[in-house]
Amino acid sequence: MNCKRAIDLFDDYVEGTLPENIREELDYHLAACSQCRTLLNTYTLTIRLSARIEKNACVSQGMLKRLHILLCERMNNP
Amino acid sequence: MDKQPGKIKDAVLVERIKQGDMDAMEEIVRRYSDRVYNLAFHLTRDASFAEEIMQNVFLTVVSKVSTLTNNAYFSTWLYRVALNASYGFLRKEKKHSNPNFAENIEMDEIATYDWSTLPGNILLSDESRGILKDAIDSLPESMRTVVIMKDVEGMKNEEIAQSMGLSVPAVKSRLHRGRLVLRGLLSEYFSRYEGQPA
Repeated sequence: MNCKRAIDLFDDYVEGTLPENIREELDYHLAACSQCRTLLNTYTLTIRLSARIEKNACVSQGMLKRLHILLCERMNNP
Repeated sequence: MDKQPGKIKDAVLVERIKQGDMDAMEEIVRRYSDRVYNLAFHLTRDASFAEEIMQNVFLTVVSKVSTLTNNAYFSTWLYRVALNASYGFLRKEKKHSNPNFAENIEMDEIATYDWSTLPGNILLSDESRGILKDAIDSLPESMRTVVIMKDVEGMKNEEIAQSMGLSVPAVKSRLHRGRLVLRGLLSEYFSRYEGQPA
């Protein structure tokens, strides 16, 4: 396996969806290639950081109230 | 969203909305308002426009839900409406990304510095989060949407594919390329810590 092929498999590797034989092949490549190991470590961390860039907001009661008024108007006057 | 035992299915609620049932509409709002708002907010990065988009999305539900032929696809349809509304806002505001910027970085897949070992206070600093937000903004629109839906919002590939009218492999491809671009941009930023003790 070359580096390009290895990188192409990162998504499935991280998701845990690679077939066992391919995963073993990739593990073998990673054991020998420090650049791909570094790339995988930082690729994985990029995903984790993306999940934490912003706290997900809950829609406030005020927003729900404003939405409720608009929806009532629309449903009563279709 | 409607797979909990005892919970009324979305499809049933949608049928009731088609009959003008306000309580059903309120339940749909309860189930999806956070999701729609966050998706719009992450795409537009503007809280007031995200609220406006959320309002337009649910008003669209009221006025257009009768055109939905299969109620089981409601959530997919809803996300598509939310995406279109967000894209509309971005076009109106001319908040275009810079594709050249992202594409240039994408080619750079050389990784020599492993910044994954940096301490959490550096990785999660306000500055590094800002760098990542700007990096996501710099992605081409279709790539940015997939990254936001999957990695920021935690949606499933299948859900994203259906909402965007893409195949799952196309979603995975855009996601992978987008992540490589972001990784490259973060590498540039974190390289300032190279050689410093972790």
